[in-house]
Amino acid sequence: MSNSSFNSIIHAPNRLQICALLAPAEALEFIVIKNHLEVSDSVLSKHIKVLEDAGIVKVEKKIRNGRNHTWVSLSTEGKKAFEEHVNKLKEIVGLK
Amino acid sequence: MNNQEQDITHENAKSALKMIENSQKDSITSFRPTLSVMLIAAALFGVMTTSASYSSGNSLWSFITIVSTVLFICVMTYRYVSLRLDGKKLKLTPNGMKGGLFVSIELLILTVVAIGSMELYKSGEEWVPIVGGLINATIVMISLYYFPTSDFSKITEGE
Repeated sequence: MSNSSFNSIIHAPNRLQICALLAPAEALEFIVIKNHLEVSDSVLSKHIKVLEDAGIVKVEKKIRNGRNHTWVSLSTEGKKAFEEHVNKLKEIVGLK
Repeated sequence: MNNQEQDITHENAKSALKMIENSQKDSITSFRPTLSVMLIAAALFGVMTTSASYSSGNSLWSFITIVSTVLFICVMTYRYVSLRLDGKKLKLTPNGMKGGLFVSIELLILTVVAIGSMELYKSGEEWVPIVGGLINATIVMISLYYFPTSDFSKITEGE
């Protein structure tokens, strides 16, 4: 059985980078992702909402020292979908 | 194959893979501890290995083993907490089968070196624990530098 499938939600450049940043981590704060992508809060929120609605990422809001902290992590399904998407890209390139 | 999939050209896929690789590299590098933390952690692990080998029947070396173990745990906890305060949560368990296998092999090598040093010291080779300590310190240093997330995805700078 092939473990590669193209995911059009993940493939958008910013969303692809979000998933790639999250893959090696347990979770990253919204601000960390924002600094890496160099996009505005609203643009990043929009992408994260799309990924969250698709069940690819989980969003957790926490309050620390009176400040809101938004943690983003890949869900189990998200990890699988991202891995399959990468495999598909490798297949297209001829690496698999 | 759906329509969008058909639209993905070889070049497009290649640039997407490059983008993924760069983002993952950046993410993994951001988990790398500072040089001082890496040196302290490696030195403490080396001292742990050496002192554990010398500790048989010697309370001073046993004491050094306990102190270095406690300090090593403190350094690793400090690393975890400081990353968290920077908005990065480190994975405590490795990623998938490949990551699990990598960590298992690493732990096996560290254990074999530590037990080997102990046994060879007992058989009269007094210099072995020092070499064992140096080997384990080097392994910890390499691991923290190249594999800070305990995943088998080595970062090569300047590529």
